Amino acid sequence: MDIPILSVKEVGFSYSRGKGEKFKVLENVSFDVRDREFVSIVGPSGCGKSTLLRIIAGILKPEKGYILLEGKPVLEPTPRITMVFQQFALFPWMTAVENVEVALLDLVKDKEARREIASRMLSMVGLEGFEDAYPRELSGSMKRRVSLARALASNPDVLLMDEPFSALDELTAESLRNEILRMLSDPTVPLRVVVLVTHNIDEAVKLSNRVIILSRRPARVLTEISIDLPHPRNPRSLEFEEYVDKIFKYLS
Amino acid sequence: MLQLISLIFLALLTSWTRLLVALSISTAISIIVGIIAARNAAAEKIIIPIVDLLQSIPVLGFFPIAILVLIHLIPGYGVETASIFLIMTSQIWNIIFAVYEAVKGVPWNLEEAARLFRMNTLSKIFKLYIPASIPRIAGNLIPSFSNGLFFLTSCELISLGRREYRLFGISTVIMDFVSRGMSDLALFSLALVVLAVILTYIGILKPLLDYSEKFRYEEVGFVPRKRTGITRISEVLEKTIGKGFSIPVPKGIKEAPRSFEYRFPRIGRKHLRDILRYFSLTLVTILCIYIVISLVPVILHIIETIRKPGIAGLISYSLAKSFLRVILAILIGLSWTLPVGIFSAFHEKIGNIAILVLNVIASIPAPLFIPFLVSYLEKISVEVLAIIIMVINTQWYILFNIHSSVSQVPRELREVVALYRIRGVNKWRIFYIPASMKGLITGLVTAIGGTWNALIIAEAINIEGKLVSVDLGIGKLMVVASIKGDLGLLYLSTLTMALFVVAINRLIWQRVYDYVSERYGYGV
Ligand SMILES: Nc1ncnc2c1ncn2[C@@H]1O[C@H](COP(=O)(O)OP(=O)(O)OP(=O)(O)O)[C@@H](O)[C@H]1O
Ligand SMILES: [Mg+2]
Repeated sequence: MDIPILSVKEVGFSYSRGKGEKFKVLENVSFDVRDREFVSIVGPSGCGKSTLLRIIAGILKPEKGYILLEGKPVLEPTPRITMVFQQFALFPWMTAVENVEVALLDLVKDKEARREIASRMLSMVGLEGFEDAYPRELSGSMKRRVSLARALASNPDVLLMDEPFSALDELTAESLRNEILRMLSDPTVPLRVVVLVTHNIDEAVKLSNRVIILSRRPARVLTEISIDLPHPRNPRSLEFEEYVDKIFKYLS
Repeated sequence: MLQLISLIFLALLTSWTRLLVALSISTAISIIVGIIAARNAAAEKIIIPIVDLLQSIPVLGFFPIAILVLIHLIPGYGVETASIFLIMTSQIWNIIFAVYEAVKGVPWNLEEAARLFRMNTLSKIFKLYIPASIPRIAGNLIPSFSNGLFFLTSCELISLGRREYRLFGISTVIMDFVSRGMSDLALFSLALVVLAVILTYIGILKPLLDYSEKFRYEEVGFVPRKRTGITRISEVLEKTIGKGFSIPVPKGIKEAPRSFEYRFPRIGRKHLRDILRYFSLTLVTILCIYIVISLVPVILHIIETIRKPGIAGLISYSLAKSFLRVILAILIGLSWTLPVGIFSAFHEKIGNIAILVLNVIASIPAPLFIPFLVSYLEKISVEVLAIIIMVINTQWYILFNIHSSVSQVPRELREVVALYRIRGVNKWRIFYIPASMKGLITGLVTAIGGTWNALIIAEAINIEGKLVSVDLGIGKLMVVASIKGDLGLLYLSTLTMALFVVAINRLIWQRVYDYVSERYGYGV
């Protein structure tokens, strides 16, 4: 077996809630993600999924445990890991294209090149012609696509996504899901690992190689379920529904 | 000695009573006016522009006029009433707007739910509108309290001018101590004021603010999940307003179909409403007529004064000089508050301590420094003295507005900046500066308004019957006019300043503010 690209090792985390009170969110969470693997994380609302993604991205420091990227610890944000936030997290004072460029400010020093990449990313998510629109002028689904474009612009190895398809219409969502699956399997694209947080179990089964099920807060890994179905997967097939039922059982 | 100390406590108590009475009346009036403005389209068109206008007028200048008017109306309590009235004019507008905006913003689904449960107007007010406004009201009590404190101390100081206008209170007591050389007692009183402010904050305002958090139903960046129909309404009700507010949700309702429509159960009430409407209309008309009639002598005085030779020149020259002082004071204030405000908001650990300390210092209303400053600076330069007083008064608005606007930046935006390793110049360019823009502008607008207000206490100061004043200034003109009893000059200078400030507000600040809040706000 090849070494994992991403390892989450015995991660524990609490938020402090004033007066030294601790609010335990994650407890001993461990899992690995291997090359070209798509992993989904599901769990009850408020169990700590978004927190876990922030820790993997290096935005929050784990209280216990650590994150490894190809065997090296992640101590702070790196260009190799990027994240799509659950909220859109767009700067209201910047246009769509400027918001995408934010991902490139540190990586690409040439202004024109930055603009060029950012525009290309926007057309990839179907927002050609909206480069100069401000977030307030965009619909929910368009804002979501801008934030997706921003994440993909930096050509990451690891893409973390926090319910990225939830505010989208089904058609757009479907085409973006397929685009990400395509990038993951395309050897010319550097993308090697996708971690998706979702509440949509159909979506998890449709896309993932593996689904990781978290418990109620404080979140622990209840189980991992490998989805051994060839792509494209048919949500109406019997095997598909068996997987969905199995996951549901763990969650309820 | 013991007598003096009990005198200090008595003075403090008197001042605080004025302040809290004014704050309570302001809140009560605001709730009524705010709800009416938000729920009645006709009233909205009248009330909102008027409130908007009134809040941009530097009202402190009207204190001498208010005294003159009220002394005749309410013999014996005229000065007291005038001071409470003036304090209210410093704190009521933002609370009215808070209530108005909160009630306007009551989500449609709550309105719908209220209809569904057949709530009448009164229970809608108590169960929906007031709970919905509580967080905003509580948030505005703190600035209203400190505005009121500033006005309170100013009113007390201004009242020093004439014997019969004297207001007994903490500022006059401090002034007396300083002018008699008892500076240790004056400092002791000042320390007590700080203590009283902190106690009011910890004991009254902060608990109210914390309590009001329960009523909050909005979060920046909150993305509602797609749900439909009735379950969503009750869910929103539960989640949003929570325990503090609960319309009993009958169990069966959750499954009720959406076509469960509301019909107006009001036939007999229409009549009552008509009567009320005519009654209030008559009342408003009488009030208007009264105001117009009482304005006649004012206008006559003004006309008479304008005709005097040299008056127009005197007033415009004074106004110009005061305007320069205002600008200078703002620039001096800005020079340190801008960097400190941004820094403190983005470096939470040091920042929070710094802001706490600055808050304590800021809690001392600027007029209370005047006695001390006068004794040091009177001989050096009255001009410097005036500008320092204005800066002390003004700087906090900018600082705290920047701090609070930057602190409102959604967590995710900070995380995006961290995630993409944005540092140095880029961080200032794309994040720090735009994020503080809104606070900067709000702060500046408020600060400029506050500085105009401060003119009347900064440009001319009464000490033991002696007037310490700058050579020329609109604030000085008002004080001198009121001391000499020159009503025409008093009206004219007050009005000129008010018009000038309102015009600048309309022509410049309003536009800048609209632009900035559209461009830099987080509103969806
Ligand atoms: N900054 C914070 N301070 C304190 N508590 C927090 C903070 N952020 C999140 N929490 C709490 O930590 C818990 C986990 O939050 P998190 O956002 O990770 O949950 P989640 O699994 O992503 O939820 P959801 O499915 O609703 O997105 C929640 O109970 C939340 O209230
Ligand atoms: Mg989440």
